[in-house]
Order: sequence, then C-alpha cells, then structure tokens
Amino acid sequence: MTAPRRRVLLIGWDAADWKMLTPLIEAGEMPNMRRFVEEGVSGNVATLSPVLSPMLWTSIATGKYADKHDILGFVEPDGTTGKVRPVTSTSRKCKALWNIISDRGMRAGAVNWYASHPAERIDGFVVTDRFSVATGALDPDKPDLGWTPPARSVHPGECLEPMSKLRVHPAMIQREQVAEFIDGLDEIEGLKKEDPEFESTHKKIGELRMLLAHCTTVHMAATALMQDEAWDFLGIYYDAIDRIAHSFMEYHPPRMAHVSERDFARYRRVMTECYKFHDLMLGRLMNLAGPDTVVMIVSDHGFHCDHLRPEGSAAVDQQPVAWHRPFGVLALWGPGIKKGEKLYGATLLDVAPTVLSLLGLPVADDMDGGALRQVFESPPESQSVETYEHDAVGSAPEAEPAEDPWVAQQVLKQLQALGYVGDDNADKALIDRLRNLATVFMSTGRPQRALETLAELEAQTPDDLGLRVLKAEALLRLGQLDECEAVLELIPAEDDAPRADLFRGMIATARGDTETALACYKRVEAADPDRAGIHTRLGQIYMRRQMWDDAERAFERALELDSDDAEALDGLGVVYRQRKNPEAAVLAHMKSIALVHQRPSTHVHLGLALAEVGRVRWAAEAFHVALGMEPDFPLAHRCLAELYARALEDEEKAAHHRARWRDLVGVDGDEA
Amino acid sequence: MSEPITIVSGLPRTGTSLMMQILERAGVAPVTDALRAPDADNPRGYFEDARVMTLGREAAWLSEAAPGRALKVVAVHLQHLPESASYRVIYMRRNLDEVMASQQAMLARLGKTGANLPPDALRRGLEQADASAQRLVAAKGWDSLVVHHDKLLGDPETEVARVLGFIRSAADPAGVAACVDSTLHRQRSSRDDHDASGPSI
Repeated sequence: MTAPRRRVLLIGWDAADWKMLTPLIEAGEMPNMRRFVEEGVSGNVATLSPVLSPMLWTSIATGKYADKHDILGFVEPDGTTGKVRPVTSTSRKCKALWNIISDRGMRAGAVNWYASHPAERIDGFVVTDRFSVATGALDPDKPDLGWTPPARSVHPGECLEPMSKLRVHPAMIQREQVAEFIDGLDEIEGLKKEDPEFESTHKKIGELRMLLAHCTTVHMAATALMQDEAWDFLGIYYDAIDRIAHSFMEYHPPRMAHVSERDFARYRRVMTECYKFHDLMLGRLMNLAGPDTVVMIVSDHGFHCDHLRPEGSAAVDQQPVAWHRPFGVLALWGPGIKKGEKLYGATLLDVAPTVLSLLGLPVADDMDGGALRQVFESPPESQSVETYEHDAVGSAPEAEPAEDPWVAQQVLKQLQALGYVGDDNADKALIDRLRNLATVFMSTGRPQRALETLAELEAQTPDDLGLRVLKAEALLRLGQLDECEAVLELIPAEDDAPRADLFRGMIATARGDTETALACYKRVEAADPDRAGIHTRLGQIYMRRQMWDDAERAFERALELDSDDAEALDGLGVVYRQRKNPEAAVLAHMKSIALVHQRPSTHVHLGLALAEVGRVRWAAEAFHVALGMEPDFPLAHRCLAELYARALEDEEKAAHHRARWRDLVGVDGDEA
Repeated sequence: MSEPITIVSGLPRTGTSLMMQILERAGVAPVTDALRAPDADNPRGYFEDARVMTLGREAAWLSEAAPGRALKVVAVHLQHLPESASYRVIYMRRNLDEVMASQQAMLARLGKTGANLPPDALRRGLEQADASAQRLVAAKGWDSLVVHHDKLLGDPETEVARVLGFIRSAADPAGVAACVDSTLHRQRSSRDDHDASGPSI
C-alpha cells in the first residue's frame, strides 16, 4: 500500500508578527501556534520592498519579484470606466502556485488570496478576494442574503450559490462577540448622538464587526472546501490581523502618548484577542488538514507593536506603511518537517519554491527564491525546470480574453484627449504603479532600471518630492554623486532637513570624506535621535575612522532602538573582532545573518571571525557563501587564498583565489 | 414604458456623428448640447451631449430628455446607461486602421497627445474596448443593429434602409441617404477587419 501523498496547506496571516505571537505562545494563549514552534520549524521571513500587500502576496504565490508578476499596487485602471478598481488576477503576468500545481495534474485551491478575482479556471477551486465583501444590507429573507456575491468570485461557477450561503455579514456579528474584543460596551452603547465620542466609537465598532465578518466568511469558505473537495494544495489568505492592526494597534499596551486613557481602556485587548481568534481558527484548519499535510504559516511583513510604533495613527489613510516591520512570520509543521528547529535567512520569495519541493515538484529557474531545504528532515533531491510559464496543460483560458488594464488606461487617455471621456481617475494609479516599480528595482540592486522608470514618472509629475528622493537614492547607488547632489538641491531643505543631511552623509562616505560624513550624520542624530538607521550609519563611519568605542556605542544604541537591525549586529561583530573578542564577533555576525541572509559582507565578516577562533573550514564555507552571492568580492577571494595556503593546505585553490583577487584589484591595488 | 432611446455607439471616429445626422433626417431628434461646434474633423457637427461623459455619476436627465430621441454614447460609456430606460442600439464599426488614423489626425489638429503606446498595442486596446462594448450590448439584451462605416459610405441607400427598418421609420431611404457624403471618407484603409474586433452583436 503506497503512502498517502503529502499535501500542503499554506495559510497567510497578513502582518502576523513574532513580537505579538511569542508572548502569547509563552502564556499558553495560542496552543496551536505553540505546536509549530515546538514540533515544527519556525523563524523570521524577510519582506520585500515596497511593503504593499497585493505585491507581497503575489510574490509569495509566484516566487518572483513584482516586476515579473506585474501586480504593482492596490488598484489598477478599469478599462471601461476610466476609474480604478482593486487589482485583478488578469493583471498577473505569471503563474501562481495554484496554476502551476493544477497544470501538473494535482488539485489546487485558493481562498481569498490577494488579486485573485476573477476566479481562474484551475483543476480545483478558487474563492476570490471579492467573495466576502458585504456590498449590501443584510436581508435574511432573500436567497442571497440581500447581497449578491460578485459574478466569477467562485470557481467552479456552480459552487457560487451554495458557497454564498456560508458568508457572514457584519450585521450577523453579535454583541457578545464584539465584547470579546472591546471593554466598556455598555458605556459605549449609552453614548448619545450629541456626545463627541459617539461617532468615533461607533465607527470603530462598525469596523471591527466588518473585519470579523470578513474573516469568518473566509474561514467558513475554506473549511467547507477542505472537507468537501479533494485537494493537494490549498492557499488561504486571512487579512484580518493587518486590517485590525491598522485600526487598533495604537491602543495595544503600553499606552501611546496620543491615546486617551478612555480609549486605551476600551480597545487595549483587541490585538491580543485577534491573535487568539486566529489560533482558534488554526486549530480547526490543522484538524481538517490531517496528518498527511504540511501546514505552512506565512506573513508578508510584521507590524510594530512596541516602542517602535510610529507616532500617531496606523490608519490606512494616515501612514500605514510606517507601521510595517521588515520581518514577518514563517512556520512549518507536519510530515517530513524537522521538529523544534529555528529557521534562518528566509525571504517571501522562498515560499513558493518550498511548497513545490514539498509536493515533489521542481522549482523553476526563473523564480527568484529557492526551496528552504533546511526545513526538511530528509531534504529532497533538487529538481528544477527552466520555467512553468510555457506549461499549456490544465488551467483553461478565461471565457473572455483578459484585458490589459494598463493598455486600456492608455486607450482611455487617448479618448480623453479626443474629448470623449472626462476626468481620468486612473492617472494616479499609473503614477503609483511606476513609483512602486522603481522601488522594486532599487530594492533588488537594479538602480539603473529604477532611474529609467523614474524618468517616465518624472514626465508626469515633475515636482513630486518622493520621486526626487528615489532618484537621489538611485544616483547614489550608481555612484553618480554630482548628479545626486544636483537632485538634492531641488528638495526643499525645510521639508526634511535630516533626510538631506543623511544623503549628504552618504555622498561624502562614497567620496571617502569620512569627516564630512560624520558631521552630517551627527546633525541628523541631533535633530532626530530616533531616526531609523542613523546610529548604524554613525557606527559605520566611526569604524572607518577607527573610533572603536564610538562605533560600539552607536551600534548598541541602534540595537536598543531595534534589536532586529541586521547591519548594526554586523557592525558590532566587526568591533568585537577589533577588540580581540572573535567569539562574540561570531555570535553577532550569525545573529545578523539569521535576520538578513543576503548580505555578502556579513558572511565575509563571519568568515574572518571564524578563522580567528580556529574554525577554518567553517570560515572557508562562509567566504564561499559570500562569493555565491557576489562572485567578484575581492576580500573574499583574498581571505580564501590565505586560508587555503596556510591552514587548509590546498595550494591549487589558494592560487586560484589569489589570481582572482589580483584580477579584481590590480596587482598592487587595494580592494574596495 | 416610455419610448425607447436610440443609442448610437461605437468607438470614436467610426461614423457615430454621421449616424446621428441620418437619424435626425429620419425624424429622430438628437439629444445634443451643441457645445462642440463643427470643425474640420466633423464639418457637420458632433451631435453630442457632454452629460454622457458623467452618466456614471448622474443619469436622471436621461429619462426626461431622451425617450424617443437619439443619443450618442461612445463605447466606453455604454455601461453607465441606467436600467430604468429602454434602449435600441445602433453600433458603428469601422476598420481599426482607419479609426486609429482618424483619431491621430484629430489629435494632431487639437494639438493633444494620445496614448503612450506602440501602434500594435493601441490597436489591441481599441479592439478590446470595441469587443467589450459589443459583449455588453449582447449581455444587456438590447435590440441592436451593427452598421459598418465603409458599407454606409459605399452603398448609403441600402444601409439607411436597414436603419430605417430597425427604428421602424417610414421615411424615404433615398431622401435620408442624401445626407451621406462619401467625400468625407478620409483615412481610407485597404485592410478589411470587419470581423476582427470581437463578436458581432
């Protein structure tokens, strides 16, 4: 009898954060999540930039950066109205997990995934991200409860009607359920309309009802399908933690300065109860999944919940992205997964390749992430294919040809110029799209592509301040320092003087003028002592000037502000090695790598520290990891040449690396 | 139920203004605000009402102003027609190369910039918009008639007779067809893509 085929259940919890999860797990409040920590593999997962959910969840589902999948924002032009609509599945330019798995003859499902509407026709089932939106008032006497589910929000289509009966309307959320989250409901309900707090409190409760209803609908749909349908892969996306956090994280303890005592007393438990609610749902999902399923939980980013919360509200019309943390949650549990282990160095791009490996499918070479082989008890043999994009089997084409919304938007622009269409609201969507694309290029080491995209954007919004900042950053990365300074001149100094000084400091650093750089960074520190990254930059300049005490203080201050500052940890490691404490250096560099794996310089620093503690083979491995990321890293080649010559007695390899180093720096040159 | 509104639709520059003139001669009064004066692109006028561009926000005027009359509603605005009225649609189609050339000529005259797209992408976009509008008309179940621009100019009396039959008018086809001036057929193309841009209604 053959063993049942392993299945994969991928659960997305938008904005879930270990800083919230860990204390709740330790207090026994999240027993199901505890199983992942104690019986599975768990750790941080690094997000991508820009930190926008539709882009991130599509990268999770495809294993690709956003410039490949082309979901570049929350909205897109609606080709028939000239206005905008939520981004759709037809805009995605590559296959998601459910397409790939379905194409390969397995059954796949997706529930509520971002940008999944209209439902794609796969071998399996899809409930789109429009299905649960309550667009009308509740009328229990009507067959569709008074609000018609959108057409094409469920595949197969014949499931739309039965599935629609599982929906939960905000009006169905009972008072007792709200009271699980909010204290003082009696008092709130006693407020009169004339009371200044009436509107704000009722709006908050209305928001919570709506989000709970939406979340419950997703869960009802997912659990029904898990029981009734055969599946090999199922992806379920819950956005409630993020959306509830944007409304209520400012009330989470400790009380923030702008929050009144009264509101703090009312709403302080909302986030905790939200997480506990998700643990309840998780338990049900784990039971339904059964022993042959690997369950993966992933969040696209974290969410500040402590002293790092920005001043003011997290509301989506205020400064939502400032509340996002760069590290989310990744946890796996199930057959073939290691037990009680920590996971290091994962990014969102690794989720799709890992799912494919768990299902015994090859990873595509055109994916930007890789399978996390360290989670397997017995890592499978590596398999790869060039791409899945040419697979023609399976996913049936849509009944109507997919419209490219960006082409449609340009057509509307033409009609507008001809005088047949009025104001075109889609222009802003195009501007945001280009800005997001430029950010993707910048964050993935492609500043030239970022500049080209910004040039297109500049034609439309020449005075956009944010655009100038991005452009300055791109020019800096390209080493075009004079041009960078010219752009900085166009940014009003009064708008954000510390930012201007930060740039001047980076330009001076690039020119090797550490004295000017230090002066600039100290001005930033004086004006904005808690500015993200400033103490790390100061530490790096102090290191270059060999001011080791000052460097150590700066890095420690950076870590006081944010214990997950990978660059500060790496810098501290360098300081420790200078202080002849290589053991502490090794620990600091390893902590840094655990947070951000893709930094070649950190691996080189680790290698140097390992060599000093006598772990020469591990040191060589660290240098090779650095070269795997950056093949032309001169210092890595030089260190390997010395190691192979003196400690590892391999003159051939020593000669190879020596020659490589000489090619890179010139015979008598110093490395960069 | 009040009299149906005769909607003249299609992509811009497919002969929608010409069809409005034909209907006027056939006794179906146009709904127009005369805001856009005749010019080199439409020497006899546009026969438009600017309120069509904001139908999505405000449509109450339609039920007062339009029953029994003709209204030009270009393809992209069709989906804003309110359900409360009844319609019959005359959908104009034209060779897309001619449409693109005509739109380009008009843009040049206006001194405006159109789509930032290579020609083949623009063509695809216009095809999609055209097909989408025709699917909408079919889905709504409106009575409809497709009229091809080149056939109208090539054999005006026959095509006008079809239109008069569609709107149940007793007007004389020859008399109405006299308003069709084939010398106004500019940007003529040799390419025949009557059926290339999506299903017929």
